[in-house]
Amino acid sequence: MSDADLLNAYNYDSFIPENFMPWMRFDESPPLGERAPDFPLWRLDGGETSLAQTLREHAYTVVEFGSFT
Amino acid sequence: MNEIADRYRDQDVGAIFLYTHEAHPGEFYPHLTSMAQKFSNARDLRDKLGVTRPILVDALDGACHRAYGSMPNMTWIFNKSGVPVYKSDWTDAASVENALQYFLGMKQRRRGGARLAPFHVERLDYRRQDREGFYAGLERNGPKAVSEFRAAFG
Repeated sequence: MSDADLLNAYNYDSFIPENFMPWMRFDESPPLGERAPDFPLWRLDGGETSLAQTLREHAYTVVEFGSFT
Repeated sequence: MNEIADRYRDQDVGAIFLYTHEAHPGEFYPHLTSMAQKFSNARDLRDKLGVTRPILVDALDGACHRAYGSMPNMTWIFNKSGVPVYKSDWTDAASVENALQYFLGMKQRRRGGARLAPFHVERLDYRRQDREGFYAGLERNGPKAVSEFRAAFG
């Protein structure tokens, strides 16, 4: 899948099963107990950080994934 | 989830909201096409829906979200080393708090000299269904979001 196709598929424009079902991949998510992959993330002021950097700040960190919609 | 963040902050527990993609795009909040739009929607999440936890925004292609299973409203708990110790395919505050209490209790047991080894457990938790509240949320996104969800799930 090209980068453009990935952007369009991930940011689907309609909530129809053929758009959202392919993304329901919880059973393929990283296992517990093993260091999980790191990714860049951005604060609301535009500053860049990363998931790993954020997790280092506390003994435990709760991460809720979601959006306005 | 905001209340849990407040309640456990002084026990060295952090909490963030990771902004992903628009799960139910509508006329008022259409699908994302730019990072500027994504930042704007994330600010609305803070200002209109009252998320008080720090919000971090994923890349436009959802690289982080996709790597973790891309469920629309999942929650993970990580330790300081970046190791996930809890993952839930849906967010339920009671389930999250139950897990936090267990992990914080485990720290205390270790401080008390207990020798502990990790093991895996699976459990089916239960969340309250609030269909009216959910549809009210969809209406914020626009009529298209309501009709598409109704068509998919009734």
